[in-house]
Parts: sequence; structure tokens; C-alpha cells
Amino acid sequence: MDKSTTKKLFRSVAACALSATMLFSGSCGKPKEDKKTIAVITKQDISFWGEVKKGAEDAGNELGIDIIYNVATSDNDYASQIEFINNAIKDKVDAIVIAPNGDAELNDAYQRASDAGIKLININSRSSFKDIVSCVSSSDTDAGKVAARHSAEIVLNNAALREVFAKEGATAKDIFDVGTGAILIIGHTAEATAEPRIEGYKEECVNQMVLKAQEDNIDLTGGSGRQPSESELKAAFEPCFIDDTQRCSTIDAAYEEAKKYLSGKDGKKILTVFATNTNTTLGVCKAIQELELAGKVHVVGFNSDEQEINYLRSGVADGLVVQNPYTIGYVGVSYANKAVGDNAIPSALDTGVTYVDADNLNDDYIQLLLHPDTY
Amino acid sequence: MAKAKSKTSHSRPYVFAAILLAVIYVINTLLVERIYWNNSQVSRQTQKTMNSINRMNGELQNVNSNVLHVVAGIGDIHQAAADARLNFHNIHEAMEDFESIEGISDDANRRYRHAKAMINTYNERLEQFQEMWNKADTTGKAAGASAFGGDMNALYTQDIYPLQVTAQEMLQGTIEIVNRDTSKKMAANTKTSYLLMVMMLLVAVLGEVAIFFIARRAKKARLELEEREKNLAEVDAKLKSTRQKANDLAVMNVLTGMKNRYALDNDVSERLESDRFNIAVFDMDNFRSINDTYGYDFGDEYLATVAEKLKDEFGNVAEIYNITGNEFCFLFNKEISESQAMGIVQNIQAVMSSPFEVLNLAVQLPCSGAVYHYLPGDCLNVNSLLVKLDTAMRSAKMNGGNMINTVVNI
Repeated sequence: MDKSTTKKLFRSVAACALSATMLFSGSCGKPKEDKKTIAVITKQDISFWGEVKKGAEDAGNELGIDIIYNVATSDNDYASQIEFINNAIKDKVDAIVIAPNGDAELNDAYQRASDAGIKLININSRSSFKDIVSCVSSSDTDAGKVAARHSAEIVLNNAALREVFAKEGATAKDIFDVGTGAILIIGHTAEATAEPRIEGYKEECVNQMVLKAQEDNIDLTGGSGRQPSESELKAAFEPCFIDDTQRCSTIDAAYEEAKKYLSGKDGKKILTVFATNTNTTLGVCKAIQELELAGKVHVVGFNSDEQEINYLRSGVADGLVVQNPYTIGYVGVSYANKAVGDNAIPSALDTGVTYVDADNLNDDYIQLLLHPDTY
Repeated sequence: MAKAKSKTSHSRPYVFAAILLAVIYVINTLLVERIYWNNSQVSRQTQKTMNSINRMNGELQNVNSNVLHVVAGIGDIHQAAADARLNFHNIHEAMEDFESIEGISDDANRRYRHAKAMINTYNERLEQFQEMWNKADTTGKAAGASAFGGDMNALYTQDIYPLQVTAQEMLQGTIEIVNRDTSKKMAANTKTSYLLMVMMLLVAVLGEVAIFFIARRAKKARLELEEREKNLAEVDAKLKSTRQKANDLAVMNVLTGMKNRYALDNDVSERLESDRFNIAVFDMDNFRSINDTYGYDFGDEYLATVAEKLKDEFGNVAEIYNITGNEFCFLFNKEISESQAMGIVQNIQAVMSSPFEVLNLAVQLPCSGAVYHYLPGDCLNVNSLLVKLDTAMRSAKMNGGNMINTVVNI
């Protein structure tokens, strides 16, 4: 056989083999699915949103979704969030998962996204826009109530107050006249989350006080013998709360505000401080530490920044209401993925809050909440 | 033997092809079987995983439903607690099932660990919830009642219920990861099977091509061998022919085509001791004058003509030898008697002495001869036999020629 014939034969064999390969790979292969892209937009660059980001990214990795993460500069920076939404529309993302820094301010951007066929999921707090498919958050009101239950426990365990409660014929007025039961509330600037937390906190504090009063047969009728109404009871306990404080957006602002009240003329009446987010908690703890009030004034804060956990360990803070930011991010992306695939999802999911104190700090579940990425 | 060997070498490529195909078939079968087994294993694993997770999810929903009935005031806390214990027992069994499954990815395990931590905490908090409920019972309050009503309900929905829903979300996440892993494994198996099929196809094609070439080469080699054998046979035949010719030339006179003296030696030597036979020699008288007159070519032509005539005339009664230039020896056949031999020699002399036409010339020479009625043991060898015959013939020539002498036995 001459060389050219051999070459021709080999060429034919190679062509056959290549054709077979292409036949197999072409006819039997599954058509490649387009990878989904989801934009995740959060409020500000603090550890809480860092955890949300981790949850979102983990969900993206597990579900095979590209995540575009953006974070605003502060919790009232809705302008950046509008820009992020516009960019997401340009990037033709499939869904946007957003923790809104505003409500009506974002509606136009929401509308453009919705018109572009982009699914909208809220996390942390819900916007009033009609096309929000679902909201994954922990209820701020309920979170306030959980904080209140534990705050009330601290208040009600206060020796001086217990004496008043135990005193025969004591009234609600007597409870507050004792002068050591005041609750200072340092709230943050984002009304959407701060106010429900404060409302829930106050409501549940009153509930707990009333329950305690009932347990101890304290006359809450003001001597009239008539059972007071709910509003009357709330009004009766209102003096307990110092909540006309300036709303704070930074640690320093919260520190100044807390220091002002704690070292002010009514400072000695304050038994408990309730801080409504990370920055306010850190500011309050800084003031408590500086004024050497740890153990005397009880702090119930919010969230689980590393510095907050350090305050908890050192006894400056008594407890922290910890949300589940990792799960919020994870479920937010998971719901967005389902919404893109037109699967049914709940219109809201409450991821709950957990009260963390020195006693349960090392529990499994608390460790999961604090370190979800390494659990 | 050679043919059998050749046949074996011819069938070798086909035997090789059969073995190659068998090997490819066996390897292919084994690998396909392995891929099938892997797929089955993945399916079983996925099914077991789904069963255990779905069982956890179902039991969690049952617990939640029972507790919600209780906090809504339409269920019994003790019955709910008993049911919850059973539900959580089942959940822990499902957890053990899940944890016993091998080959679950790190992602799925991690998501499951999150779910497990939430489920365990949900269980613990439900137990605390039950204790609080019982405490409220024993302190005389209506179960679940509070200052504004629904307090236990709030406690459950705020503190406990989120654990159940987030645990279910984590379990759902685990299912999605397991589904993704299963798809990946199946896709990898499918890819492997396609790759395998292509490889097997390539091996088969290349093998068949190799066999094709081997067969062609073997065929070519066989044809070359056959050609060489054919050539060898031809060479052998030529050699035999040449050898035969050489042998013939050794015992034959080239000019007359008659056997020569060496042939006579061969034919008679062994008979000297045992046989009785009649033998005669003849020679042209003065043959030299022909050569001298007409040349050697003419003389040769003349001898050839005489020899041809002698063969025609006496080839059936005697073997004729041309033992020297113009000397012919006649070894009579066994059945020829002495008297018959005597008569024949007379005829021979007459024939040889008759005129012959050679190259359009009539030539005639007388001849002389000698005849010998040989008896066994008369001579030791052919040479002495011929000496006797030649001596008798020379005697005749010396006496004038054109006559026949008889060798006298002494």
C-alpha cells in the first residue's frame, strides 16, 4: 500500500471517529441551561449585612446562581439602592433581593424592575410596593417583644422593685415612684425597623409588668376598684419608659445620647437600657463601660457584631436579641430562585429572633447563629 | 506440514480480531455495568436522603400543627406533648438514617447541620414552653391565658415557631443540594458512558484497521512466499534438467546421440561376472581418408548418418554404443542367441558398408568388426573386454579389412 493510500485511509478513520464523537456529544447531551443571576442589595456595611451576604452567597453556590452583591452606605441611603436597582435592570438579572432603606422612595425603581420582568424579594423589612413577591425577615415587633420579656425579667428581679411589688396595697404608681425601674430606649434612625421594635418592646414590657402585678395581687385600679382598660394600663406604665431620645444612626451618636441620659439628672432611675440595633447597642455599651455602670444598669441590645459579643462576655451587656441574618440572606436568594422559576413561595417568612446571654452563649444553636459560615 | 503452518499464519489476523472484539465486549460490559451500578447507587442514595428529609419535614409540621391547636385553645397540651415526643423520636430516627448515608456532599451536610441545630433547639424550646404552660395551669390561670390573652400564643409564634419554619427551609435547601449533587453525579456518569462508548468505538475501529493492515501484510507475504516457492521450483526443475543433461552428456556421444563408452561401462560391468551375452564392435575402414578428403564436418555428418541408420536397423536387437570416433559397439539383447548374433553382425557389416548420401555426396566405406560370445567371468572389467574385441577387430583390419573376426575364448 503506498503512502497516499495509507494517509487517505487514516483520514477516513479519523473522520469516522470524530463524527461518532460529535454524534454522541451532540445528540445525547442535555441542552445547557442559562445560569440565573440575582442581585442582592443590603442596607449598610456592618457585620449584620455581612452575614446576610454570606447566606446569599452560600445559597448562590448551592443553587448554581450568580449573585451580584451591593450594599448602601447607611440605613437611610435609598439613593444608592435606587442606583443598584437600575444597574440590576441593566444587567438583566432574574431577581432582586433587597433590604429597603426606604419605602415610597424606592417605588419607581421597583416599578422599572417589575416592568423588566424582574422578581422582587424583600429581606429584613417589607416595602409597600405591590409586586413584592415575598419578604424574609424577623418581625421587628416580635423582636422587640422578645427583648422585652427578658428586660422585664431583669426589671422584675430588681430587689427594690420586688419589695414594692410585695408590699400589700401597692399600686402601679408605687412601682415607679421607687425610682429605680426606668427603662432607657436608644433607637436607631431607620423608622421601618426601629419603631416596631420599640413599640413591641414597650407593649410586652407592660404585659409582663401587669402579669407580675396580677401575680402579686397589686391593685392596678388606682383605688377605684374598676378593672383598667388596656390603654389605661399602658398609660399607667408609660412613665417607666424614657424613649424621647434622639434617634441615632452611628455608634458615636448612640454613645453620646446614652451618656447624656445615664449621667443626667434621671440617670440613677435607669435600671435597663434597650438599644434597637448594632450601632446603638455598641454606643450604649461604650457609655456604660465608660461610666462604670456595668452590672448596675442592664443593657439589652440587638444583633451579634463581634464587639457586641465581647460586651456580652465582659458583662457590659446582659443580653442581645440576635436575628438570623445568614438565614435571611440564604432564604431570600432561595425564594428569589423559586420565584424566577414560577414556583409558589410564602408571601412572608419570619426567621425569628433569639435572645442570647452569657448563659446560652455557647449553645449549639447560638454558635450557629453567630458563626453560620463555619458551623 | 508446511501447508498447515501456512493456514495457521493466514488465520492469525482473524483470530486476533475475534480476541480483540471479545476483549472490547468484556471491557465494555464491565464498564457499562459499573456505570449502571453507580447510577443505581446514586438513585438509592438520593431516595434514602429524600425519604429521611421528607420524614423530618412531615414530623415537624405535625408538631407545629399540634402546638398551634393547643395555643388556639382547641387542643390538649398533654396530648400534644406526648405526640411531640413521638414526633421528635421519629425525627431523630430520620436524622440517624440521613447521617448513615455515605457520599453526601459537604454542602448538603452543612445545610443539614443547620437544620439539625434548629430542630434540636425547637425541641428544647417546646419542652420549656410545655413547662411554662403547666406552671400556668398549676398557678390557677387558664392555660395560655394572660393579661391581654393569647400570651402563650405570642410566646410560641415569636420565640419558637420561627425555628420550625427556618429548619424546614434548611431541610428544603438540603433537598435542593442533594438534587443538584444527584444531577451532577448522573451527568458525570452519562458523560463517562459517552466517553467510554467513543473510546470503545475508537479502539474497535483502530483494532479493525490494524487487523485490516495485518491481513493485507500477511496476504502480501503469502503471495511473496508462493512466488518464491514457484521460482524455487522452476530453478529446481531447471537444475534437474541441467543435471540430467550433464548426466546424459557424460554417457552419450554428442555427435551420434548414442551411448558412449562410459555408458557401456555402466551397463556391462556388473554383468561380467554373472551374465552370458553377445557383443560386437565395428569400425569403418580407413575412415581417416573421409576426414582428410572432405573435412571433419563432413566426416561427422557421415558418422551421424551411419549411426542413425544403425539405430533404425538394429536398435531393437541391440543396445548400440558409439565408443570412439567411428567405432560402434553392439550389446545384443539377452534373447539373441549366438547364431542369431552372428547373423546380425553380418547385417551390420552390410549396412555400414553400404553407400550413404551425405551432403548430396554418396559415400561408401568398408568396415571391419569383431564379435564376442561372452561367457561369465571371461573378463575382469569392460576395459579388458574391449581390448579383446579391439584386438580381434584390429586383426581383421590388418588382414585387409572388410571382415569380421570372432573373439576366441581361451
